[in-house]
Amino acid sequence: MKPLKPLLIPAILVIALSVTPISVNAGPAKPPTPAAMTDQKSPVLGASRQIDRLVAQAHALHEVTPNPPASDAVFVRRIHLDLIGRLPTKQETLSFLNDQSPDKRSALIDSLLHSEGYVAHHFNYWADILRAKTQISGNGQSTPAGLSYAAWIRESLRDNKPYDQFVKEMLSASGSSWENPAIGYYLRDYGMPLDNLAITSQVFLGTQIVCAQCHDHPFDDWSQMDYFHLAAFTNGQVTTNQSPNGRAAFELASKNFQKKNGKAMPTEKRRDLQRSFSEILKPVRFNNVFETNRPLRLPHDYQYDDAKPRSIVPPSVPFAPGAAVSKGEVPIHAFAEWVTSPENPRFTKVIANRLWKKAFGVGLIEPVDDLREDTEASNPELMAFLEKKMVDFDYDMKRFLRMIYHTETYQREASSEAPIWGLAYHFPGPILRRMTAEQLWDSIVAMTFEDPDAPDAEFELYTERRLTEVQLIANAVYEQKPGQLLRNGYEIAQVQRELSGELQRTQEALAAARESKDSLAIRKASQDAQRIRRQLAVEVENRVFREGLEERLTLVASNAPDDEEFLADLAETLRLEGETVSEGMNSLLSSDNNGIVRQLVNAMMADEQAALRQTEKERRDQERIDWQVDRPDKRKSYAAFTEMREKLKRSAYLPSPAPGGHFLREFGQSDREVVENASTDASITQALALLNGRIIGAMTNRYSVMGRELVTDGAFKERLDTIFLSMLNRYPTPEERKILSQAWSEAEGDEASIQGLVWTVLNMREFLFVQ
Amino acid sequence: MKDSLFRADDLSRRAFAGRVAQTFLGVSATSAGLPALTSHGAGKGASSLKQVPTANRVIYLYMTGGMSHLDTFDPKPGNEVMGPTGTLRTNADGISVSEYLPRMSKQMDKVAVINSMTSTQGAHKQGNYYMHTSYELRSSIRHPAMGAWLLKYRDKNNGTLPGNVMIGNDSNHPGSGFFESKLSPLMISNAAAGLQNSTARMSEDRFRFHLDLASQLDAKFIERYDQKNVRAYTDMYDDAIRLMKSEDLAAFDISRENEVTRDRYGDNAFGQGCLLARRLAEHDVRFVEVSFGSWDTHNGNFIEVPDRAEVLDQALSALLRDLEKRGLLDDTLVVLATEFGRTPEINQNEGRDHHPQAFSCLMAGGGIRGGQRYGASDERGSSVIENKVDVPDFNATIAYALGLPLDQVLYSPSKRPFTVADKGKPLTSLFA
Repeated sequence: MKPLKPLLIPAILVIALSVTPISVNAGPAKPPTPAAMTDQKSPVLGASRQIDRLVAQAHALHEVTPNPPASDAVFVRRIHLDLIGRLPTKQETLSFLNDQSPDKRSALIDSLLHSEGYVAHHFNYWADILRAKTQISGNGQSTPAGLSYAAWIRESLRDNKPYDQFVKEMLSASGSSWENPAIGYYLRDYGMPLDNLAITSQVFLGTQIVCAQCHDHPFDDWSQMDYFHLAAFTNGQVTTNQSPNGRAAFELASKNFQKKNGKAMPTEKRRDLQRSFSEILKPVRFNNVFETNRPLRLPHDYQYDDAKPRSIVPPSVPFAPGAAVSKGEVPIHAFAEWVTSPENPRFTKVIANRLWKKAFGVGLIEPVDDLREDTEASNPELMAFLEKKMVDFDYDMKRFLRMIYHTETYQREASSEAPIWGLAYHFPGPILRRMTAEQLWDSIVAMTFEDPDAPDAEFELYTERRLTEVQLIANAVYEQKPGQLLRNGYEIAQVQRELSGELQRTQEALAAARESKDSLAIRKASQDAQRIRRQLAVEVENRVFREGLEERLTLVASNAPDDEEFLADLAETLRLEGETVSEGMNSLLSSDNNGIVRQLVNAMMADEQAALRQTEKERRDQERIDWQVDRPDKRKSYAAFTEMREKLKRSAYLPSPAPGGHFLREFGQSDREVVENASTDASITQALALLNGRIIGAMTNRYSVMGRELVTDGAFKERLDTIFLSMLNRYPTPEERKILSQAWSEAEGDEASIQGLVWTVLNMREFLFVQ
Repeated sequence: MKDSLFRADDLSRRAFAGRVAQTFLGVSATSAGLPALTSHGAGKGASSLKQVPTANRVIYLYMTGGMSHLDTFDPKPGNEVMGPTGTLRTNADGISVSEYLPRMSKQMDKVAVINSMTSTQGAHKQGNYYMHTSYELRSSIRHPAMGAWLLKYRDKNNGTLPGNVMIGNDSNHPGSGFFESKLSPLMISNAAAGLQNSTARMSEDRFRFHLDLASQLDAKFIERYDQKNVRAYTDMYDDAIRLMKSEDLAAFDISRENEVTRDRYGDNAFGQGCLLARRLAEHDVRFVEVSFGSWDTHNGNFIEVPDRAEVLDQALSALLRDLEKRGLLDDTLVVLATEFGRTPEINQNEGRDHHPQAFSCLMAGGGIRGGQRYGASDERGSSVIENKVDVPDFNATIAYALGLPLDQVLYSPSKRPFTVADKGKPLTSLFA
């Protein structure tokens, strides 16, 4: 994997703690050089014309009249939403509408494809398909892995990583979250390798084999045996939580016990030790995938005659090209090659159809992920052509999208009639779509704040923080010698016994307090119980993690005994006050109760954190001057504005999925539980959110992007234009002007009615839908 | 109340079919060139059983992720499949529950336990969808869930509140399927927060004024794109505005309940969701679903299930007692459903995997005779050995309690025929 850009953590700590620096933002995307553009342009545009011809053939055959070409106003709105996931601002709209050059549409497509908005929007698109969750395995410890997986998806899109490579990296991923974020693909289905395989088949091969997990497929040519043959490839990607030295320590314990007592370690003792190890390893849970040769067995109730239940199934694939596993090799690499091979009949078809659907709202094959033997595209020649182009372009997704968005077919008006399920759609133009939850949210972000496509530095720093933290702990534990880890294991087991006695007493007290309905005692007992539970984690950190970290630093210090500067640097960076590493650690520990790991991370991130705060402070100072925030009412608006800036961030830089009840979820953001679970259906709560929600306050705040124009543009006509150009990306028609001027005079135009006009447009279907 | 309930039945069969045709085909049923509604034997094999409704409304509790039947309502005392889970006797003869359900053990006299559920779907999305709709998940169509079927056949009881409410987080609920969107559930993601954004931020005059303005400006767009989803928004806006004006809006506000009551249901999302469901039932909302999970205990089943069961035990027992006390249990059907059970085998992660072959669901109230057990699984809880209940049978029983016509065929826009509960046979012996 390509190393990510190093970040600015003190180099000395990087060496000392051997933390791999991970940066989740590689800075702004580089625009392609003019030479590269012209190089690529003509074959791509030729292909666009060929698509138009193939669509026209279908129109002739099926007697379909194509829709008229879309106006510039419709185009500028739709292409922004499709490529960068938000409405164009008033300025962006105007600069396009006023542009007189004949190839302005082409130039706009190219610039949007290379913007950060492309990354943010297509991240949302892939997060829905891949079910990318911040808490990737349903548990807090999996957050670093979830964050790094998301950062990796964004990075892959930013680099325009070829699709086949993108998939290959996921399918063959193993390692730890901080060194190979693509393991998120397997962690997402922690402990469920069979389900994970079904997802792989569905998402990348458009083939639904999930029912063959338990019995032969009822409609298609899939047997349960086929399923298990295929699953045998991925079964070796083990997501369970073990560490090599943990296993060695355990073996050592068994051996010691046998030697001393002449018999095997009793179950109870084993369980105690196991519990202790799992407590020690808890913070690094859900952050590793091991690549193994683990064999797969048939289920105990396997019902067919071709094999016995519980027998081992060798890996093999159901259709060409073959996937041979060399002796001694783990099977996963052969599998990843097979899935992503251009020879694989479904791999290319699925992605070509998917990206077509992304642009038009409906695929040539529907659904995109349930191909059958007898599945036929609505336009087979076009489907074949798209597949060929995907291969010709070496799975370059931007190039492929560029080809599609350059077609006349795309640049037509949306169809006034919705396609009918089960009947072929012949693409007289794209279909009408409702904005996705993320498009709607991000559009509001763009109407409110400057620079709406920029990656969120705070979110990225948080990602780095969590990854550094888990990596520090892993280093502290994984490098302990088996004997040392075992000693620690026994120590923690002892602590567990003590605390569990204490916990039991507290729980009894709690039960008694509940019985007597003594609310004070209830609160005290439940606080005690919480404290005891936390106590265990603190003990693990202070005894085990600290020991590991200290050793590491001492080792570095002793390797450079004469280098006073080195030690001084170390001391300064760590903000330690002590002669030795150990003393420094002590002072760190006594300075507050946050634990040694958090303290170290704070020290390591101190510069970045300070830089972030400084930038924000400077921005605010500048804004206060530029915008003359000098009266109490202005200060109040400005305070509201900056407070919103904390929450109203681009959806790609918020936790995924947003919590239940969030605006994004109300409007159908996927819960990321199943593949492509987003929805654009109407609901009462959506109507209520637009009618009465707080979102209007953001858009019309006097310091929002739109609000500033509304305040400064005095005349009613200009204000009206601002609202229309910002939200509908067109000028009002003469008829609309008449209606609105009349309304304006009736309302005795004031600031409240300007907000009322924004409210009016916000509650139009034309705003919510994409033509 | 009962009077208004029967009003919807006054529609003659023919008028009803005509209305359905109008809705789905946009033509009258006698129009040439279209299949007559009863042709091709559509709906053949569906049960013609129909009764005077015993239930006026439903509170449907859905356990997402697949609730372990062994560790809840189908324990097998003494069998190794139980792992560390113990068993409790209950106040109903011959019915036991797991030790994780102590409160419910004293209320099983109100409940019919179905221990012989079986499903054909072993994956979450598919299983959840099947349980909610009686039809298998197909990408070419979306089937309506029971709440939408109910509203299709019967008017709302309360004119201003929505007839169908879903409390919990499920962005993939089948909703109204191919029916009109207005039949889909109102989603409340956080019961304690209630219904958000239900009051206007401007005067009523201004609100009306700007709303009129929006519809004038939008007229061209709406006319040009006369499509289902565009129309759906028009419906939803109408409903939203009606709701804002409703005197019953307070039904959504559980802060009006005293602290003792709130505590009884449990200080957690599901408990508070059940409390909200009770308030909505009091205001005669037809169908309320509360979802709770995840029960997907592949890892650490014996840590996770007791935790979930504690929440379920408290909320369900409070709900049943509360409904009974208020005289609502007689005509409110309470359903507890899940997509599948979990394997008797305990896996290497101390968990249990998906097991659609045998699992358990509950019904209570709404005409159901309490204290009975229906069907049985074998001694390991592995497969059904008595009175197998398929998912459509289960849903047909709900529809039967509501007096819905099980053999009435309705058509999707793609002109495919469907019936409520897909020809399932109602378990009539469950009723008192």
